[in-house]
Amino acid sequence: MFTKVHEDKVIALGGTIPLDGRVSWVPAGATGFQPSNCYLLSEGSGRLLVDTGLAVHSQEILDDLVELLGDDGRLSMFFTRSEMDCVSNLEPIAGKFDIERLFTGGAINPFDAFDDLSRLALRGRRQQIDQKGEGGDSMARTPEIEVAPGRHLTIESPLLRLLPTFWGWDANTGTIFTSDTFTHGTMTSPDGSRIIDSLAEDTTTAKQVAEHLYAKYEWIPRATCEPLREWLSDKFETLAPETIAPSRGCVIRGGELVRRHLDFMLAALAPEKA
Amino acid sequence: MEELVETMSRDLPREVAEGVTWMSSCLPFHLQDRVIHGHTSTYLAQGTESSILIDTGNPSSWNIISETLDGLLGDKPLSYVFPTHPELPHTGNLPRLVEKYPDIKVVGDIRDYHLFYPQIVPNLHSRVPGDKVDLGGGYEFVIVEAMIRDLPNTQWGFVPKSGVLFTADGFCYMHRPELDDEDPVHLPGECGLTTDELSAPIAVENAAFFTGSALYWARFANDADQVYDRVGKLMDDLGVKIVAPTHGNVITNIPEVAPIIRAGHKRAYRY
Ligand SMILES: [Fe+2]
Ligand SMILES: [Fe+2]
Ligand SMILES: [Zn+2]
Ligand SMILES: [Zn+2]
Repeated sequence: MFTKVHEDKVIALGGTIPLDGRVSWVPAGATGFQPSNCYLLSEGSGRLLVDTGLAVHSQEILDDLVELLGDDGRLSMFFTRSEMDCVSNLEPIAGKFDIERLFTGGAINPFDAFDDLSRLALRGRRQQIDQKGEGGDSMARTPEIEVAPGRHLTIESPLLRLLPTFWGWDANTGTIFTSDTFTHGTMTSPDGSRIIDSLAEDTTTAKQVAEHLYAKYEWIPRATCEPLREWLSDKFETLAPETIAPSRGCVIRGGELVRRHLDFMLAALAPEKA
Repeated sequence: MEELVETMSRDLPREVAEGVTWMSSCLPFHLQDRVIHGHTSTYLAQGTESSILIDTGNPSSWNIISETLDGLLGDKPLSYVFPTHPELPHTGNLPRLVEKYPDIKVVGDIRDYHLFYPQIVPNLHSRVPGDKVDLGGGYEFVIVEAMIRDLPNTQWGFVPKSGVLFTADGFCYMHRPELDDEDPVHLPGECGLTTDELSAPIAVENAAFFTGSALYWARFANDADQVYDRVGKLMDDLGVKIVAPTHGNVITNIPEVAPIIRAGHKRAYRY
């Protein structure tokens, strides 16, 4: 079942993962359920899918896409990372829909993970969104993806990352796509809400945010984090997002909640004070 | 038909220690003014009874990996595969390996794989550091804690009989920094050379370049000395003779190369 994040303009798709000790990117002992998200951005006849979700949720994502795209099954895709939690439904989606363009960074072509037929057909649609700059830094080469005239996703390589990663900024809806950060929102039951949007009901703690961050970003507690904090505050101050849309974990919606979760994240990036 | 296979040196596969064969393909990295090459290696460790593939190689190299395995294994199936961590260059061929060898056991820290590859769940077998896989004839593969890593579910491996340590993204570096624009690919034979056969030592800048991009966190964590002290202790304890990284030439002269890798890692720190 898909979830409307911002009317028909941003829709979250995907399933939930039971936290049962078999997932590496959550803290040891984490329980409950974590949503795994991909997002369909729509504007007129333009559609851009941000990530593709997990292979284990393939069927529900395909069903939702059929319902949302109708007969005209054309869409473009943008991968925030070339990691399997983002790309592992590429093949089934490419098999069912007409992929117009694929925006991805890094040296590995994700199409190559799949069988020869789809690989050959799709290679030409790939657009490299980064290039290597000074000292091996990834820089956005396609700083904007047009969803439709007047609706763009602005692409940036975040300073806060582990592997090559791209964030997307949808100014039209005030949504920031943060890939594998801000992933800490979990649910107590698999049919819980994929969105945290009520200040009164938000039970998130600073400790939870830090533990989720350190589970994947193991190095943060022993790192020089000042530049990361500065970069993150700057980003949020400049863009003033209304919604944080991570590739897993609950969506965080509403200015006050965004501010609160940003503060949790900034605290997690001050391990020397924690 | 489009040529999908990445560069694989004619000099590979190559037996680099008793029972351990190096298979590799090279990925070109485009810098501002030149192209340099990085290895994406896989290694096959063989005992008298069974065999284990360490990392799966890049998906685009599947055809050549599959043919090389046919040549090395003859009519025997591959018994085990050990993906060091779930990034595409290390695991992208898992479904193809399971299709080719239906009884294969995927061993290691297999967290997350059930979400990425639901079709291979019956083949997944969790292993923790210290666990051993018996390959027969005195050959064992031992799971080792990964001391240099990006993803948290990374593991290293060791073949005690041959003294080979498999370090995944650890001990990675680029070679041939001085290639000019006319010379976009590695020189014939370079990719299959061990570090003591390279014409010049690895440049610290190239080790730093690779570390700073593949191990991005090295830019922020200024603890290379502690990390490499621990790695040095591990190598002494195990009796490591050869280091086999996924993204670099096989390291045969550890005392000369380890300080360069350590210095490159230190130089990757930026603040
Ligand atoms: Fe790699
Ligand atoms: Fe890696
Ligand atoms: Zn790697
Ligand atoms: Zn090469």
